[in-house]
Amino acid sequence: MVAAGRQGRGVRGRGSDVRGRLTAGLAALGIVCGALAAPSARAQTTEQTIGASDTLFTTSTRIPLNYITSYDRDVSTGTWTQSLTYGVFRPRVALNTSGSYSTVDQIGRPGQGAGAGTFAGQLDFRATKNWIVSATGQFNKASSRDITSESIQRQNRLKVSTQYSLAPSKAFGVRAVLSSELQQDHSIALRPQGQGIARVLVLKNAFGDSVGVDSFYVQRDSTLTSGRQDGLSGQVDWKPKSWFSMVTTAQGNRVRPTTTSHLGGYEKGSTLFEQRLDKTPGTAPNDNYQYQTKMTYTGPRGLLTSLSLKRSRSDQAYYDRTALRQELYSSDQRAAAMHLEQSPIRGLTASLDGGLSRFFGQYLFRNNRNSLLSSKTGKASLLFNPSAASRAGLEFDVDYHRNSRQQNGNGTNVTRFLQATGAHRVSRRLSLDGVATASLTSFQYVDSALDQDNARAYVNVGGGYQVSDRCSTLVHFSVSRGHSVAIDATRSSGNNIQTTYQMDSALRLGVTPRLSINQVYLLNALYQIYDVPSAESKSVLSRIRRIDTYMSDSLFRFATLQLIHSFLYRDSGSFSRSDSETVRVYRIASETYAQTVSASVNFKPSTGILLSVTQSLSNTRINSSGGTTINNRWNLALGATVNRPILGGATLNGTVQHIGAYDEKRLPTDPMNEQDDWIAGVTLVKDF
Amino acid sequence: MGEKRALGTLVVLLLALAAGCGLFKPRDPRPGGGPGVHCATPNSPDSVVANVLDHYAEFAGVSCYADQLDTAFVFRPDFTDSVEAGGTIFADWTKSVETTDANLLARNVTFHAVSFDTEYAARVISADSRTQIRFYAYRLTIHEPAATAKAAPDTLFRGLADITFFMGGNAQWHITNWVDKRDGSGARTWGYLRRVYRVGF
Repeated sequence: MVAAGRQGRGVRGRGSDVRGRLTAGLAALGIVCGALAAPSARAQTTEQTIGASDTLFTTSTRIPLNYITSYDRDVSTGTWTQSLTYGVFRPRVALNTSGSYSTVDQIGRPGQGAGAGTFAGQLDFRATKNWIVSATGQFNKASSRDITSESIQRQNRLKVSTQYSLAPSKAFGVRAVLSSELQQDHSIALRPQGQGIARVLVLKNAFGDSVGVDSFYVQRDSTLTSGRQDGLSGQVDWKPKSWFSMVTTAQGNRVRPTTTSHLGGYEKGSTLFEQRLDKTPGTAPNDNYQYQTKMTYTGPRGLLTSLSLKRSRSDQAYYDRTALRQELYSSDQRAAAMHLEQSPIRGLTASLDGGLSRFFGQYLFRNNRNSLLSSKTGKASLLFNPSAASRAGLEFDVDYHRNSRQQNGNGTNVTRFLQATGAHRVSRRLSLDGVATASLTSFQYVDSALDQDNARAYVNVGGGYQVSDRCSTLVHFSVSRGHSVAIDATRSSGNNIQTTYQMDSALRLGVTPRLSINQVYLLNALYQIYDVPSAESKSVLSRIRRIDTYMSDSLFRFATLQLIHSFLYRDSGSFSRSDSETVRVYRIASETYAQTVSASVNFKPSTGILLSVTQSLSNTRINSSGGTTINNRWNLALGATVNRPILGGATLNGTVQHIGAYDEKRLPTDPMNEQDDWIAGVTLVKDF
Repeated sequence: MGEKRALGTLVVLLLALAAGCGLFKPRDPRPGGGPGVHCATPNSPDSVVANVLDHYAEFAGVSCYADQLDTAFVFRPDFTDSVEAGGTIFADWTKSVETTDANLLARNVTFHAVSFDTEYAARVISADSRTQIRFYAYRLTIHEPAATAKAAPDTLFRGLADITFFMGGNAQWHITNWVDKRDGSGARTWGYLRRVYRVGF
C-alpha cells in the first residue's frame, strides 16, 4: 500500500547538473558508491525495480484522506473491514500512509473470531536532485480467540533508507539504496488449564552446556523477537543502442534476531503454575540475497527477444508458534526465462518461450516440509490473422516438474498440451469456428503406487447465423474424451474412459426493442466405460436434454421484468454387457424431470437504488427403482442494492437480501427444509 | 497465397505428427487389479457428498474424489488459518492442487474417517436450481505413521465447510467452492490438514 504510485521511469540525463550534485551525494553515500564502484550507469527508460521513484516529486498532488468501511455477513460470520489512506506529494517531500483492519466475528458465538490489520506510512525527502532519504514504518496486528486459546501477534517495522541515483549519459544509469530496519515481532497466547502445549526445554548450566531436559506444558507464552536488518541494493540500466537494453539489480540484507520467550505453565503431573525463560541469541544466519538481470533485443521484421536470469538466497529465522521454538527457513532459487517472437509473413506471428527454474526450500526443524522443485517449460505458438474475417492458432506446451528431497511426493510431472483454433466469417450472416485440444499429464513418482496418467482430447465445431438484426442463432457440436489411468495395480481397477457428446445451441430473438427472448438448448450423453472387464458392471451412461428460456421486458424506465423457465430431463443407468451379451445395453435406473419457473421484478425508485423481488417455483420428479419422488420448492428473494453518494461526498455501496424458501409438504412428516437468511454487504467510502 | 498454403500444410503435418507419434498416449497400467471403488455418478449434490465422504483420504478412491471437483474449484481457508500460515501456501488452491494434496494425504494415512455431522444452516439454492450452497459441520480423523507424520500430534480435525455445488452444462454436479471455517472448538481445521500436505507444488 505504501508503494502506491511508485511505478515510474528512470532518471533523465542531466549532464553537468548531475556532476555538480554528485560530490555531495558521494560524500553522503560513500559506502554505497564504494560497493558499486563498477561502471556507474543508468539508462533512461527502463523498468525500475528498487528504491523510490523520482516521479514521486514531479508534481505537487494530494491524495485526499479516504475512508472505506464495509460489512459483509453470511450465515456464519460477519466481516467488518475498514481502511484509510492519505498521501501528499511536494517537490521535495512525499508522504504516503495507509491503514486497514478486518475483524471476523463468529455469528452465534459471542467473543469468538479473529482480526488482522496493518498500518503503514512512508516519508520520502529529496535532499538533492539525485539523493532521496526515506523513512518507512509498518505495524501489523493479528489476533484470534476461540474456546481453547486466545492469541495476539504484533509486528513492528521502522526502516530508514537513503538512495542515490546517477545518470552520466543517456545510455547508463545506476541507483543504490542503503537501508536499516528495526524489527520487532511480539506474540502472546493464552490457553485454558489442561489445554497447554507440550514443550521440551533444554536445561543448561552456568557455562551454557546442556545438562538435561525439562518437559513443560505451556499455558501462556509471550515471545519477543527483535533485531536490526541492514540492507544494500543497487540497479544498473544499460541501453547502448535503441535495439538493445539490459537491466540488472542486486539486493542483500542481513539481520541477527534475538528471541526471548516467557513461558508459563505446569510440569507434567504438577498443579503448580511455574514460569520459564527461553532465550535464543541472535547467532542464526538470517541473510537474503537477490540478483536478477534482463536483456532485451529488438530486431527487424518484428523480431523481439529477451533473456531473464534470477538468483536468490534467503535465510529467515522466525518464531514457530505451534512448536514454540525458533525455526529457520532457508531457500535457494535460480531461474531463467527466454522469449523469442517474430512475424515472418504478414499476419503470422510465431513465438517461442522457454524457462528453467530450481527452487530449494528447507527448514531447520520441520524438515518434512523440505522440497527441491526443478522445472523446465517450453511453449511454441503460431497465430495467423490474415484478415479481420479469419484467424487461426496453434500452440504446443510442454511442462516438466521434478520434486525431490521431500518426505513424500518425490517424482516428476510432465504435461503436454496441444491446441488448434480457427474461425472464419463465411458471409455477413454466417460464421464458423472450431477448437481442438489434446493433453497428457503424467505423474511419475518415486513411490510408483502414486503414478497416474490423465489424457484428455476435445473437439468443438460450430457456427453462428444471423437471420436478422433481431434474430440470431448459434450451434456447436463437441466431443470430449478423458482417460484417467492409475498405473499401479492397487488402483487401476477404477480406470475408466469418459466420453461426452454434446450439442449446444442458442436462439436470440428481439421481439420488440424492449422485449427479448433467449433460448438455450442442450443435448448431452456421457459414457463412462471402465477399462478392466471385472469392472464392466460399473460402466454407466447418463443423458440430458435441457431447455432454458429467458424473457426480459423493460416495462418502464424505472422497472424491468424477467421471466425464466428451465426444463431438464435426465436419465442415467448402467451401460454394460453381461457374459451372455455381445453389445452393451443401456438399463435406465433413474429418470429426473426438473422444471423451474421464476419471475423477477426490478425497480429503480431513484438514482442509485435498485429494489428487486424474485419468486420461483421448482418442481422435481424422480423415477427410480425406489419409486417416484416429487418435490415442489418455493423461493422468495427480496433485495435492495444501493450505489449512490450520501452525506456530501461519501458513497454508499451495498446489498441487503432476504432469502426465504421451503419445500411443500406432501406428507405431514415431510421436512420443509425452510430457509430464512439475511445476507448483507455494505461499503461506505468517504473522502475528507 | 503460396506461403499461406505451405503454412497450412505444415500445420496439418505437425498436428498429424503430434497426434500419431504417441505424445498423448497414456501408459498401460501394471497387471493385476484391486477390488476397485464404487464412485456414484454425480447426478445430484447428495451423490457428490457421498463420494467425498467415502473416498477422501482413501488411496484407491482419490480419482473418484478428484472427479467431484469442478475445473473451477477453489478452496478458501479459514481467516485465522490463513493469517497464521502467512506466505502463499494457501494461494491458488485449485483442483490440481487439491487433487495432488489429497493424493499425498491418502497415500500417507493408515486410518481415516470423514463425517459431515450436521448442516448448521439451511441450504441456499439459486433461483434456477443450478447452484446449491450447503453448510456442514465436519469431523475428520486421520492416523499417520510416526515416521512420515505431517499433522501429528493432531488426529482430529473439526470445523465448518461451506460447500458450493454447481450443475454444469452436462447436468453433472461438482464442487466449485469450499470455504473452510473454524467452529470455535479450538480444534485444527481441514484447511490446516490440507496445508501441511502441500509441499513442493
